Parts: sequence; C-alpha cells; structure tokens
Amino acid sequence: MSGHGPRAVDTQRALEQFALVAPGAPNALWRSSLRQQFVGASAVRQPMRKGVSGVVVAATAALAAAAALIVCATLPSGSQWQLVAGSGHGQIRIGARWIPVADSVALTSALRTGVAVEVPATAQLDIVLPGSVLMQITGGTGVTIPSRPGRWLNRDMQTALSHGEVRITTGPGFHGARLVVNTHEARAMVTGTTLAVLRGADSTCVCVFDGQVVVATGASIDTVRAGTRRTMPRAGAPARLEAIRSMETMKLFMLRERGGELLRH
Amino acid sequence: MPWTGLDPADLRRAQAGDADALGRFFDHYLDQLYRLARRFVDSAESAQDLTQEIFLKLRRNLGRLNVEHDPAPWLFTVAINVCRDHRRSAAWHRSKRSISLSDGAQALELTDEAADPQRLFAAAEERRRVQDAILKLPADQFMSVVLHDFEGFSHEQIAQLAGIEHAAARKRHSRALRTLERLLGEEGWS
Repeated sequence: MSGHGPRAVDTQRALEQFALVAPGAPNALWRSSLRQQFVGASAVRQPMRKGVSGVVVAATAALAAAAALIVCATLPSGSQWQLVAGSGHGQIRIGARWIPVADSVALTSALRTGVAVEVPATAQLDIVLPGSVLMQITGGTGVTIPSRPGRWLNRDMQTALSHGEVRITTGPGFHGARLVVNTHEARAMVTGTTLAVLRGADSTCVCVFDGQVVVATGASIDTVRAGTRRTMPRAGAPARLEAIRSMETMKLFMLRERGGELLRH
Repeated sequence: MPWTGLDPADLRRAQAGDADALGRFFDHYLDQLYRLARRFVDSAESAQDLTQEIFLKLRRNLGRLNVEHDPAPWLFTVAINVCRDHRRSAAWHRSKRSISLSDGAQALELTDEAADPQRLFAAAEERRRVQDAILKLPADQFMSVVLHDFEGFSHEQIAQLAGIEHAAARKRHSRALRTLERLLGEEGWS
C-alpha cells in the first residue's frame, strides 16, 4: 500500500480487520467443473440432425447434463467408515450380526452407513470417516452409523443415538458438511467441532469442547458454545445450561488430540 | 499486476469461442475473482456461487469486451455488480435472519479453533459491518479501496486501469476513505 494521507482511526481499524480475511483457494473439483461449463458454453455448435428441433436437442442435452450433475453431486463421497479400534471384550451387534470386539476384520466389513450398532457395556468402538469425522461409541450405547456426506451437494450426515454416549471430533475433510445427531429429545447440528452427546434414561446432554453446536428441541433452537453443556429433559422440565464437567473435558481433549492425527490429510 | 497480463490475441480468440483461449481466460482470472467474491460473503460455498455467476455474466458478455483495452476494469465492474446484487438479494437477507451455522464456521476460519466463540462472533459481526459499508461505496471509490487496500495495487496502477491521472486516483482514494468513515459511522462502527 502506498501514499495516502492519514486516516481516521476507526476507518484504519476497519480496513485492517477486513484485510485480515485471507480467502483460501477455491475447491479443485468445483474449479474444474466451472471451467468445463465456461469453456463448454462456447464450444462450436454441432450441426443439428435433420428433422429434430434445436430446442428439443438443447433441452434434452440440458436435462441429461443436469441429471448427471445431480447424480454426481449427491453421490456420497468416496470414503467409507472404517474401524480405528475396538477395545474391551464382548460382542458388538452391527445390524443383525453379533461380532466379537476382537474381530476387527469382521467389524470393518460390517460398518455401513445407517446400520444400527449396539456396543456392550464392556467394550468401546472408535470409527473414522477418513479426513472428516472420528466417532467414539462408548460402552452401553446404541447408535446408527452416520450417513456419508454427498460429494458436493446434500452434505448433511445423519445419525440416531437411542441410548449411551458418543464423542465426535471433525477434521479438515468435514468442511462444508453438517452432522446431525438425533435423539428422542433433541437434534444436535454439528458443523465442525469436538463434542459429546450423552443420552440418559430421560434426557439428552450435549457437551461442547470447542467450536459450537446448534441444538434444536421441539420448543427451541439454541447454540451450545465451547466449555458448556446443555441438558434437555425428555418432558416438562426446562433445559439446563452448565459448565462442562472436567472429566468430560478431559475425554474430549484426548479425542481431539487423537483426531488431529487420524484426520490429518 | 494481478489483474492484467492476458494476451489480447487470446481475448480475441476467446471472443470467437476458441475453447483453449477460453480456458486460458478462465485460468487467468478465476483466483482473483474468487478471492474478490470471498471477501463479501460468509462461506466458501457462497463465494463459489458468486464466482459462478460472475463467469456466467462474463461468458454472456464477452463479445462486448473491447480487446484493445485492458479487460481488468470491465471484469472488476462485472464482479462487484454481482457481489452487490447478491448482498441486496432476498436470499442474503434470509440467510441473515436465520440461525447461521456458516457464520460460526466463517468466524472459526478467521483464527485458531480454540479461541473464544463469543470473540469470534464479535469479530464476524464487525467484519459484516465493514463489508456492508464498503459495498455501499460508489463504484469508483469501491474499486479504489478494494484494489489499493486489499489487492495491493499502487495509485499509479489504479490510475492506468481506470484511465485517469495519478493525482486523480489518489484523490479518489482519499474521498473513498472519507465516505467509508461516514458509512462505518452509520453502521455503528466505533
């Protein structure tokens, strides 16, 4: 920046604040797609087939291209959920199968999006969607394996927690996606953070270690911020907002540290 | 200078629909136009939408470009008009009324993850005020501020782009800062 007179202090600060934002490079897939559109839009027109209306040809081509684009954009991203570790002992139910915790090969092959998992009180399961999400399913938990985000569109992931505890941390590949954890009492909507969702007998508790999580119940939508937990009773009693417990903080800290290594691209 | 440098012969070929030349045009300007759009919206996805809109307009109007002149002012004008239209659009206002997850995500991009969320949101709100004020600047003043303060152009380079004298470019920038100061006051900036 060169030569101009003194500025008012507030304008200077405003410009500095704005200049702090350093936009990153655009997504490579999007770039390639847009380039194709830009270049292709001007391609030399092919002579039209005799007897077929140009409008019909154009409309058919546009429809076909749109259909192909929608299919590609909404297809789940390439990665599958993978087993990081099964610990403890006992049998884990995945779908209709009961699999020993120690049988990592069978566990890995059984992990499919949407399938229900029941982890016994004596075991724990850690699963990862490479680059995106590390999820810890603790003993005594019933949960569905989250869906995978679409490649470009439909980037929502859904999971249902019927009982027990899950801890989640997200990585760089999660950018632009959203994970929704559904329980009987609430929906926790995650856009990038480390959190735990604890489903007790008559309540759901969302503990946020860093970032923030939007929590929706039938009556309200609230933001749960870092260092706090929100407990939502099944019926009647009002929701409570409290500081996160130190033991939970420690567990989430450890999960985030682990996720930092596992989810790195 | 980041906004110039494309071979005029390439521009002519692009106007004629030559795919290779259009590809070079796209590659040459994409990053700058994306960066410009990204400054005025809350998420990378919105910036991609805006950039797509900009390139659509450029493609439609490429035939009108006078290849004897540097295309930068024309590109820039198209881009800022798209950004401004977006900020005036119903979609933009709807997104501001709803609970915005992307605001948080944006704020988190600005600094490290472990920072205080309240501070991050305050920073995002401040940034929004600055965005709003800058976008209200008259087009010539907007161009002066964005090119000089954010894209690193000298007044002399801006003068060449805008086809005005060096002194006039400096004067325009000073005027833009005074206008911005007033607009920031209206936005409640302190």
